[in-house]
Amino acid sequence: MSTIKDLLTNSKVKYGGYAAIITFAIIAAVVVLNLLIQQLGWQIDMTDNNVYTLSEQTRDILNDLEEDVTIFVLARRNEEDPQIMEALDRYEQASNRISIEVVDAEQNPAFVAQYDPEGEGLRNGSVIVATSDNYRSIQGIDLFSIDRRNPQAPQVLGLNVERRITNALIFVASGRTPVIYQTTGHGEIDLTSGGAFGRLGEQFQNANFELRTLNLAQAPQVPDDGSIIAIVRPRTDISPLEAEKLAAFLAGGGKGFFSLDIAVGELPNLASVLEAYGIGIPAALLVEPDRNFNNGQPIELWPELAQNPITDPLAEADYRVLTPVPRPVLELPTKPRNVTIEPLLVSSTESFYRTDLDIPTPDLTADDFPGPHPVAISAVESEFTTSEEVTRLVVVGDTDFISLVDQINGNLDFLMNSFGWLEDQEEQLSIRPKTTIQFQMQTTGTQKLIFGGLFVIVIPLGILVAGLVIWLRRRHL
Amino acid sequence: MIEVQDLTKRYGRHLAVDRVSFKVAQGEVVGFLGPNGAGKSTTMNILTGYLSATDGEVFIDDTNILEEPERVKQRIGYLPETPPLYPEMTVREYLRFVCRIKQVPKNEIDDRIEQGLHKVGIVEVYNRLVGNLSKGYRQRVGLAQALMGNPDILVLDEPTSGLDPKQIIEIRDLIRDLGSDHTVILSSHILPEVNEICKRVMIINEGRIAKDGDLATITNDLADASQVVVTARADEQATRDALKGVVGITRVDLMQSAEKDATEVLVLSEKNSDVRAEIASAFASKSVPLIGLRVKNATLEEIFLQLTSGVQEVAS
Amino acid sequence: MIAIMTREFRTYFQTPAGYIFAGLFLLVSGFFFAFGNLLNDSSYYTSFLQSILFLYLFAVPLLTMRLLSEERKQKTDQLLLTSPITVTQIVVGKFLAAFGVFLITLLVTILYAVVVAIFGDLAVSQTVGAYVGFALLGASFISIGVLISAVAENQVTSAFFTFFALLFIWFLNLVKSVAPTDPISSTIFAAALVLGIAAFFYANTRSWIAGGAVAVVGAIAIVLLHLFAAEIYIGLIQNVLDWFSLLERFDSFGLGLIEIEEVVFYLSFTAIFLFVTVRLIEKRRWA
Repeated sequence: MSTIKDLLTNSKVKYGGYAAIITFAIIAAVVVLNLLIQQLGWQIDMTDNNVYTLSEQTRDILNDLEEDVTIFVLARRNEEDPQIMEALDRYEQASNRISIEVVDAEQNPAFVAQYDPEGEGLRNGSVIVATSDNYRSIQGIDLFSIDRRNPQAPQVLGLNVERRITNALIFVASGRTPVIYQTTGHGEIDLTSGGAFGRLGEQFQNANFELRTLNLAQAPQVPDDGSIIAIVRPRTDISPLEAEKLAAFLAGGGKGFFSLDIAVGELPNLASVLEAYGIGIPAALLVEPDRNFNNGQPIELWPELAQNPITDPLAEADYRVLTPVPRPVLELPTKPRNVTIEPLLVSSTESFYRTDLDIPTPDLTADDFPGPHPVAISAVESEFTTSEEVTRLVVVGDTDFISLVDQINGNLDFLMNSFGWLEDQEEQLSIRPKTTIQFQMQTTGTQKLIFGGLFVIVIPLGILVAGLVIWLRRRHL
Repeated sequence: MIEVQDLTKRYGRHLAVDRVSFKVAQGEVVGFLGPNGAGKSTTMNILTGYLSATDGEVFIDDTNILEEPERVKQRIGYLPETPPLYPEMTVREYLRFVCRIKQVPKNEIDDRIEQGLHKVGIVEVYNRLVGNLSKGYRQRVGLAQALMGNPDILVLDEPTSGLDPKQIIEIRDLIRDLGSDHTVILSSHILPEVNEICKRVMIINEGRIAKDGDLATITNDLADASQVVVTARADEQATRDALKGVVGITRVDLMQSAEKDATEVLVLSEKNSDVRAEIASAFASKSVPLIGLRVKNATLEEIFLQLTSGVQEVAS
Repeated sequence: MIAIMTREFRTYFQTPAGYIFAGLFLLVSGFFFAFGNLLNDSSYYTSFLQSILFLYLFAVPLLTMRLLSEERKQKTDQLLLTSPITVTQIVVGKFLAAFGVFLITLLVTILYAVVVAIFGDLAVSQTVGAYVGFALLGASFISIGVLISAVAENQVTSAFFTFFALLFIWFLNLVKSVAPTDPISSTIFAAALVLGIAAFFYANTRSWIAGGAVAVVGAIAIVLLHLFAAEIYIGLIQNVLDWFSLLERFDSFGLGLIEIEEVVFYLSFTAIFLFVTVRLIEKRRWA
């Protein structure tokens, strides 16, 4: 019996014809190894904001998928956008339920028509996310984030693939669009007005929310198809009747988002509704002397992010939320046992809130209430017996943060995550467009000439001359 | 020290080396003698590990070269038929490189090169480009190369080929000198060279060892006749007649004469005999003008003519 | 190995070879950078690296043509092979020298990126990724050149065949988009593949049993796949070509993404070519 080692060291085997077979076997083994490694899908994403790495949220959604989803990329063969394909490949790698298919829209009009019943024109470049009974199509241009500040020359900033696709996934997997009812009649602002050019409205649309308005005073009740009621920057308090309707809606499992500021002062009727959930909204100003947590002014706060599902993704991305002129939102000692309150944004230990705004000093006085205090909190009411969740609330003691969503990523994410959380779609959250492309250089004609000359003439010529010199010198050695 | 067993090398159908076996003891200086294409270079290439044998084995001090090639190769210095030189390097750079691939310890490299340069006499071309050196110098640089690893075995393939007479003498002296503390195997197709340097000779023909032994015995064995070339200003008949009376002549062959009006014949006589005096007096007595008389040394080619025409006899 | 590498590396710069390579490479790449990026004020640097990929066609033969062919021609291989170093050390040393010269030349082009960074926004991660891919692709191409220089008779044939081998790789990249995708062509392709491997086994073992066994196993595999995984036969040719395509795999690096499978593929490709080179040299000694 010859052992393997004998076989390999035997000179006949080593150098003879069998060597070729062994060589072949080794090559085959390396190919198999490569195929295995391919399955692992390990990668290093070098891009500044991890363009090609799926966020935690997307991964959770993929893990929760209960049906197969096909992502159709409409493109001519071999003309797919490599960036988009690369980003989509991540989905395919992350979940067995996802498969990607490239379809040429020009050659398969019947296929496309299936997903475009209104004939709005689904062309190559677009992407369709489809389950067996549900689909959502995404226009190609929406897969990129585009800077439209200059309407004449919009600029492509980067990729928007993950946000679009993940939200489409949520949509096709759940099959419904939650509605946000924004109250009117108290001088509220419309969420779609937040940010330049209605960008916030677009955000809500991307996140599969439908925004509607609701005049609480006129409507007999909050429609029960409405998942979320939003009272954003009211200028006056709601009436007792409205408070009743609101309380009834919340008690019936409704969800609420409240954004209040100090300018409106006391809100006794609204406060009474929130009090039932252990939330206090004193008419007070939150002051933050700690420079690490203010924006130069003690009343412009960068509050600390508390640990909770809404702010965790922000902390991960190293984002912060700017809340100019906030009022405190407190957890009351009278909070019912079946309500869980978690602070979202908290001021520092040096901070305090002040109810008497006439005190002339910016420093802590005996009349003030030393911190830390929450700037925003979330509350969950559960059934006593089954501990099934009934009501979810988010109360933010600031309204100006909404107008800053364009400038501060943290603000946008905080707002969107709050609604996502209310809708129990924590995953949905802040998947932000990712910048990949910068195009422009600015050089003067002289600089072009200098560097062009350097690279085209000086360097190559210098090397060739150096070679010539060395050759001539050595030739006669 | 060196043991070769049944070494065979086959190129397709051609048998370059055919079951060659021999042993070389430490300190021996052995010459491979044979015409071009006899298998000398192939044998040496296998000995040094450049080629692998089709069959058979090579042992250096009981170590098979295939099993521990690195260790064995460290002990052999090899000067192939064409010296393995890089023309674009200077002698210094070249020898430094050789030292490094021969695993010479770093701190010994300078000394090693210094010694080598003096030994083969190339100090004066130390900084010149190998490609610009004359054939003689290149051969010596090649020889220096073989010495760099401080090997105890030297394998030199045609070390004097292409050199001028003065250089040949120098190289031969050098090899003789090296023979005092190295085991040397060299190959040549020139009998006198082997004669001068080696005590032991192996005659290789058509891939086989035709003869193995010390040189005197071999030439004795092979040259079964002494040869004298006789030139006379006479026709063939007269010349043959003149030679008739000389005792000891076994055969007379007509040769092509270089001179006009002259006859040149090759006279074979019994082994180890010198018939020149008798021939001279025979011509004188018959008044045939003798204009040339010289002993013809058996060249290797002639021995091989004999060998190949009488293979059976030699092989037996 | 280091001795071989150092000698080879110095030879590049003691003879005109290295300077011609570096000079011409930088001339063409400088030209492309000046006209593609500088004149247009475009800071899209990965597109520059993409645009000079074709330079490999000319640069690699120039770099590798003499590596092993010249040793054989000058008979210096006798020195190397009779020295106490292994063939692997020789081949890897030579490869590293050529790769080193290539890397140094490539390093000079980083100056271009610096200019982009000064006058515009350089996408650093993409650039680094693209450079990593570019270098890995270069290593693979150089390993092809090393292999060819080991079998070529002289520098000229070596350069010639290396050029055509690389051209073939470019050609495959074009061909695969027009390759038939239907199951029948794919099956024929798979059968040809199996036959090829079987022939290889037969040619090397001279045994009908070995060759026949491979053919039978291959045929069974083809049938089984048809029965249980028929989808594999749709676009098989393209997928196989894609998988082996060196150029295709470069794309993801240009996006700023380093995929381990691509890195491993390039490294294995290089290693296999060097390995086969070693085997061929060993085999020649045996022949």
